[in-house]
Amino acid sequence: MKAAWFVFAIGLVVVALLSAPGPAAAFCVIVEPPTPLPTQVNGTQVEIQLTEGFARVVIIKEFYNPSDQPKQGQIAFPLEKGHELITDLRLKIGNVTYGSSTQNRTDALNAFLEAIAKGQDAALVQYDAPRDVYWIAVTIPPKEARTTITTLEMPLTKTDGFYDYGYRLSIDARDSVSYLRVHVHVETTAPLGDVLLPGHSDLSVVRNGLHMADAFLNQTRPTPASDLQIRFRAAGASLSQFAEVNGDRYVRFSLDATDPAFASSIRPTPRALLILLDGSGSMGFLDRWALAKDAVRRIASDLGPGESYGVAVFHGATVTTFSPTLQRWTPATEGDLVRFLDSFRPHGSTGLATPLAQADSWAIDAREMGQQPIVVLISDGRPTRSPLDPDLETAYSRISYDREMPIFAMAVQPADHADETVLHNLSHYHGGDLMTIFGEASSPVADLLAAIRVPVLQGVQGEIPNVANLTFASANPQVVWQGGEAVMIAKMYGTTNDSLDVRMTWPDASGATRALAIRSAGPDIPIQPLLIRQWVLTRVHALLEAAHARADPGVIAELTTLATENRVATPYTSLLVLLPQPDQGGDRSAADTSLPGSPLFGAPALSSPASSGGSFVFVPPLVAEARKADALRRDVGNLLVVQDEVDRYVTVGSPEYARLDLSTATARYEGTYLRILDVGGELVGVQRGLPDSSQLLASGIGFAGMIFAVAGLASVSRRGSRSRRDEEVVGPHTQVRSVAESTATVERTEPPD
Amino acid sequence: MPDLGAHDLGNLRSDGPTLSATALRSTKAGLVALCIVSFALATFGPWFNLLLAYGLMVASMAVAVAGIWWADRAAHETHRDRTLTNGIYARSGAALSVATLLLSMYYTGLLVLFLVFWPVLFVVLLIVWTLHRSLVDAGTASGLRA
Repeated sequence: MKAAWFVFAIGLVVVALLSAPGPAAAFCVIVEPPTPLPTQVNGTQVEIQLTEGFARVVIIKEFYNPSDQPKQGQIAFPLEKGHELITDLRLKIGNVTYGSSTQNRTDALNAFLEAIAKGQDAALVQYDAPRDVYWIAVTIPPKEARTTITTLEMPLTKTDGFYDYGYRLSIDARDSVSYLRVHVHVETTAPLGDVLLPGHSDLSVVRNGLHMADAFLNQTRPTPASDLQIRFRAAGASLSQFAEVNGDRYVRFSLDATDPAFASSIRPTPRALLILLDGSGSMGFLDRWALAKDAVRRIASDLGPGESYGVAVFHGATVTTFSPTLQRWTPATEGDLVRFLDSFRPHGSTGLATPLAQADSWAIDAREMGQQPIVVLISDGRPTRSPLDPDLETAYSRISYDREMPIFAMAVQPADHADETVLHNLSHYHGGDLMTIFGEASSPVADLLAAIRVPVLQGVQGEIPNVANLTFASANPQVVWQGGEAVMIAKMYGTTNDSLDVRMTWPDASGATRALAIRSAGPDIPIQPLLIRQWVLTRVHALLEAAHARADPGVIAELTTLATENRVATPYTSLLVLLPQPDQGGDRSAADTSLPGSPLFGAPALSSPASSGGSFVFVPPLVAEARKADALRRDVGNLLVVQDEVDRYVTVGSPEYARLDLSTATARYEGTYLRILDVGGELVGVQRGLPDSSQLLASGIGFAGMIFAVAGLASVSRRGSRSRRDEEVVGPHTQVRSVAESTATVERTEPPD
Repeated sequence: MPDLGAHDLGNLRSDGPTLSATALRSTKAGLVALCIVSFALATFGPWFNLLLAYGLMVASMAVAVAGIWWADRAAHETHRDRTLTNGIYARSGAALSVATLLLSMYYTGLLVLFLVFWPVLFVVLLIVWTLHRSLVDAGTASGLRA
């Protein structure tokens, strides 16, 4: 029975973990409730292998449970979307290492829960969509250590001639108690160019021939350090291959955008900047609106001949455009633009998806004009009405994917890191980047304009003639961007000894087709063992991008199959490690029942609900009034109200209220006197119980009482002064008589002793 | 020649008893207590401050108790001195003070507290009443000796 309760509790916690939204944690952190003896990381060892267009990182972490109770740790990996994916998990206990299997998400979770129910040790890697992290659940017995060996793999994109990889070393340095070892190994097919470690000038890069370089970090007492950024480049075209014994052959060919072969064909595509400006209430604070207007003016004035722009200001459900069509920038139109922006007073709700329809229409126009549409979203980053994450990100993914359009964002004096993260997620994962404006706009705008890359060559087509079962993992045809490369990653039938013909064609500036053909003997092509993983990861990422934008069941099915076959944890597949069941018999259940102090995966302990007896609690009227006043102040002080984000207010029972479609409404704020509903594309404040009749009555009585009391006091004071005057006029002899009479009266009335 | 004015005034004064200043003070206290409670009630709304309200209520209770005390003293004074009168002032002062005291006690929650702990309150009232009687008797005795 106790075991059943334990399993039930675990199930609840797992479900709660998978459903509860929360901010993404730092890279690879242990999540557990506060405890005097927290799980510690004895040490971390990281092996980073980098090659052209690909990175593999193996993270070996040794966890130790110093307490006397079993711990169930959750290790969170908030992986960057579009980049790394977990491709292997192994659990090392003593000298034995246990491998993982890949299953679809639901099956893996069920198997994991079933294993725990049977008293079996298990570990699971699963994607947690609401929190946007991959997490590993692992059990650690008291005074024991567990070592997780996690492999992350990711394709690398060439930017400005360099492949760039960042590892969040600072987190490992902070957590690791005894040691931190990092080994970076770069190996390229083409001769290796510069290898840079910005921020870690103390690390020396050891060259090993023309194609390899290594760097080592070995600290016995890790101290907080900056993250590790590695930039490297390979000189010239790169051709590599790998073949499996089953007859599958993988080939990668890449050509830098600056290669002489492209020189006569390179032509940067003119930009069409689609500026979406948040004009909601919150933009009226902290000088945001002035900074945003300045940013818009500076961005537009950067445009050259043949380029165009559009400005759309959005607030509530309203989108107002500077001009319905894209237009060219001229100094003469600057005044019009400034007047247009000055005509707005920021107010209303923030719906960051509101202007997307306009952006989509402009993007189509830009394509027709031969321009590259680029969205620049300028906001403080706090959406106050639907869609919110994750639907908001999906909306941006869709338009970015459909229109092949990068999305850049400018955060104008964001209130907190969460707001900045919203804009970061909308831009960074959709081909763009985020710039933040604090204080002045010129520098962030310059950074933004410098970060924008446009296609320089379109329609690059890869061909490998005379091979069987040819499949490209890379896009074909593809677009070559500024500072990027043309790359072909293909799978075919063959061996490494087969000769290879690679042909790349593209249209030049005049429209004529140009071609580059390379013929190599099989043995002359360098072997790159990571090529098979690069092919898989490139394919998985392409499918993930398509699934994220469109959620096509066919794409998801293909993705699930590919990820399961190649052991990749995705939002649709999970990695599961099942350890052999220990011979503990009934003891296991008995031990598990002692877990309430350390619940699974660090979730808070479940507590029995408090007694809900109907005992009467008297609240003094003054305290009740204070609560009402606090509630009213809380409602009035709500950020949505303060920042003028509410589009309109209605009163319960009014005709406007009756017209609201409450079946589709989502509450954004629930107060005592005010509800704020997200309904019909706007934020509506619904007032109820105002004015409060009891408060009005009390105030009225109070004012009446004060008037009565003051009037009464004036009257009594007058009567009192008249009485004193009378006494003064009567004189002392009368007073004496009065006293005498008084005495006589007393003598008369009181009986003698 | 007789001083007609003085005679008239003297007659005027001797025609009726003197209004007790204590009774007047009692009424004033009742009105002040009412004014304080009313001010506290007038603050009901978004600008309500619990600490201020409790302070005002306690102050009004203190003034109301003083009003009742003075009304009682005025009653005993007129009983001893037939040249003094309370008019309506002692009664109205007592009434205003009691009403204000009840109102303040209700809003602060003391009324419910007293209703719950009525045996304690009963004993306290008995003691107060006994002390009051002894004070009155002592006052009467000293008056007779004088």
